[in-house]
Amino acid sequence: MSIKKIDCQFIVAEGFRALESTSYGVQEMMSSPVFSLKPPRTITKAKANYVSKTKTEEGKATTKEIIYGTRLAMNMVLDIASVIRGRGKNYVMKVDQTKQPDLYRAGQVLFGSNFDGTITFAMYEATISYLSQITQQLGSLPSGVPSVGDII
Amino acid sequence: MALNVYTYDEFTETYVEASAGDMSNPIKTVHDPLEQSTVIKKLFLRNDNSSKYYTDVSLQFAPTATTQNNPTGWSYKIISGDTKPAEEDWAYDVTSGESIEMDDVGADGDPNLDFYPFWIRIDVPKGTSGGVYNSVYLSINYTEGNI
Repeated sequence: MSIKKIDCQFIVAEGFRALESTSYGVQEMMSSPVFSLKPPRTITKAKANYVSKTKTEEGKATTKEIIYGTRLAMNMVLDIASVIRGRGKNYVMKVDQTKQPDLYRAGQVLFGSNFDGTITFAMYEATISYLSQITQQLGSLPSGVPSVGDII
Repeated sequence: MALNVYTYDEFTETYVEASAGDMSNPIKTVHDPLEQSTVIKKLFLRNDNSSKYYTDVSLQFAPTATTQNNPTGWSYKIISGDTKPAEEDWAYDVTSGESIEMDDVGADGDPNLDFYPFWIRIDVPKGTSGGVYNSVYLSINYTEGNI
């Protein structure tokens, strides 16, 4: 008789409802210099398209939309950063799929298609580290990149 | 290459193998501490090696070696089958931590690479402290044979 041990992780999300009523700082963050980035190469057109569908109602993603989706994903991380950073390494946030569909889809772009709305401190740290790397490696966005509220 | 547990990703429409030991892709559930939280999830057992078959297969949640971060009042249940179990099935047919027998996966001379569905139910009591809990693992017990 042999045994194989499959990993399990159960997350109790203290901030489960915290984001449902908050939209603070989103506009300010979207205009922050940190968003002067090109999309990471790992973001596929299909995923970016998934993100941007709610904005465009179109079937295909343009380069602008991919960048938009990327910025949205980055925005999500920074939006929760101020909450997670102050609460310690056991803190967990939850993005509500129904009430925050854009942020939820952005999470799928940034964290993968298995993203279920949960953001742990480790995920936040890893993303900040990644953003720091590509900030150094890549230049500014091309002109004409849409901002929040723009109709793409 | 062996017997594995998979989740099904509806976004990509693919089966995703759960990790075993490195926590790279654990079976994950998320719970709200503000109320009694129950998460029911469909998983799959599958052999990905056509030169092996498996008998005496069973599944069971078992506590990890560490006593750190070990919550009380939680319930971990498993029911095999494709159809989502009813509430009374969870209540009367299985107990927390109970070992569940699965069908043999293949036989000598007859490999089987199908996905065998089963369900898990994790109950977390209201008021549980927020955090990430790795307090149990899902144990696959089996006897392996060569084809």
